[in-house]
Amino acid sequence: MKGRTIVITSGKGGVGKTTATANLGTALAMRGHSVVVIDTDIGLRNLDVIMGLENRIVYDLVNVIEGKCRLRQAMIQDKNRLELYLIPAAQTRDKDSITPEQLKALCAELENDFDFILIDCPAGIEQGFKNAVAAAGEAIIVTTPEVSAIRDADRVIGLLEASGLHRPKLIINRIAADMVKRGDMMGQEDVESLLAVEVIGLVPADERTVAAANRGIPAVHDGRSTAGAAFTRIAARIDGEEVPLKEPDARPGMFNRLRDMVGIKGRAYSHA
Amino acid sequence: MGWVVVIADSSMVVAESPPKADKQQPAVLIKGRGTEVAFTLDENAPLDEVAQELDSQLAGKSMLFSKGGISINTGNRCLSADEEEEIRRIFREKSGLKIARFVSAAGMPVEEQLGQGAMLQADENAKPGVVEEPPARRTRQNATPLSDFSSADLARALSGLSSQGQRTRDRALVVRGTIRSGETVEHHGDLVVLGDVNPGSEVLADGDIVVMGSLKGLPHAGAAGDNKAAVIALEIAAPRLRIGGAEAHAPASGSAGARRRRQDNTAPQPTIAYIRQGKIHVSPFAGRFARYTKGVPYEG
Repeated sequence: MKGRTIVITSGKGGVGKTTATANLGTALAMRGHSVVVIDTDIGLRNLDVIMGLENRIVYDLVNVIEGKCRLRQAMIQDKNRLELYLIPAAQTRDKDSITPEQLKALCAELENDFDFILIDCPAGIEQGFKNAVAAAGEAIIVTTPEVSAIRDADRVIGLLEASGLHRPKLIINRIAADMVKRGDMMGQEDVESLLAVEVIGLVPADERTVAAANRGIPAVHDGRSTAGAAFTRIAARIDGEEVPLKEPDARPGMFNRLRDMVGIKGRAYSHA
Repeated sequence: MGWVVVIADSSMVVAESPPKADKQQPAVLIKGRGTEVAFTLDENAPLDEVAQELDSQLAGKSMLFSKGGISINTGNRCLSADEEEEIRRIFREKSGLKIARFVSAAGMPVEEQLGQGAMLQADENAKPGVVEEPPARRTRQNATPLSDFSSADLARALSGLSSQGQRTRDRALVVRGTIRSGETVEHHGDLVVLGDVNPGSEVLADGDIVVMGSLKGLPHAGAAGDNKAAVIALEIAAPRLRIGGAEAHAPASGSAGARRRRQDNTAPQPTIAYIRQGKIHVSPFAGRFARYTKGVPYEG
């Protein structure tokens, strides 16, 4: 079986690419898939920290590409012994240490053995972006509901299409439902109409995500994390399952939970 | 450096070289314009000559180009699938440049494969990692020429020209899909965008610009200096407008008009921007249409 290589990118920094990569990788592995996550943010590696694997790094992506070690030696298995492996970025090198062709060849090799290869793309649209994008067959764009992030996402979608990656999917991260409700933040429809791409996930702003990242345990392991639950649903969608998009709820109170249970369709709040 | 957008346009040559000086004109002209490189392929030269010339011009220059997708404007030439493949091959082998799309200035399969347009036609079964082939494109054979619904008349009407109008320009370029931040679309004629023009993008046309969507990027209609050109969009929300030699800035977002519209929450309405007495005016399109189609020039 041939695996799928998906790049997770955004243009703007700090919107949650790395967090999304860690969570989607973990969620896909929890669904029983074999997954490799590759950190291509050479020089500014983070994915290892978010996944809590920082201390286990011996070899990195550049070592593999330069032939200093075997591929398997650089692959660090997840703490929970899931079929999830991390190839960390080199911290002491820069983006020019690898070429798009080299990463492409690496991913092609991994595709033979794994179901999913997730590439965590660095911010920006320079060499690091080009490296990350070259190897991918699909793309997921992460954005937050802020004009700056959306502008950058728009630029990146254009670049992806120019390099042959069509139909990128969009994750809208850090949605503050109460702000959307007040009209102080863009909602799904606003972002969707601006970017004109398919939304694959709505992730609520959730303090627990930060706490999880600091502990090095992706939020999908946390049963009480709303963001973790959102990433689990996104993983299911990536897997081809039909899961309806769930707008983050402004009031996760008793009434709403009851309403969800009973299955009454509440009035969707408007973004106007 | 980013992706190189290449616009190779035959009409550029027509505009820049006196007629009949063509004999000296090489079949392939490479010109730098800022960060862009334009390849102009002589539309009258036989294709094998063009191919040969292209081949030799590109050889040894491959280091000059950053790798990326480019678009080729074939001018009035209409390429067959084989001919396109040949040009594609030369660029691929000699320069590392990949042709993202072919556009034609006149013959009419004017079709830009941007945004959704491309998405709609993208091969769903494309293998991961394979980014070689551009999406299927429409060629002349199966495209509906705009002239079928008398684009000439329409264009004349829309540009306020009488039937013996003195302006000559290429026919309309139709872009299907969103023009995204960082993208520039330039056309020596009228430009029609079936989608949004997003912030951070630029659309330039020697003629009119018609956007069947929201215009938030920077438009320049009448870019060659035509003050009779107009910008029409379902919504004009551009920070600046340029028509011919005039430029206008959008009112500040805190202005009374903007505030009123926010409060009223009225849906945006089709809008036209044009020049009158040297100044750019922005008005609802509805009331202007009759005047526009009657060919009453705005200027003067």
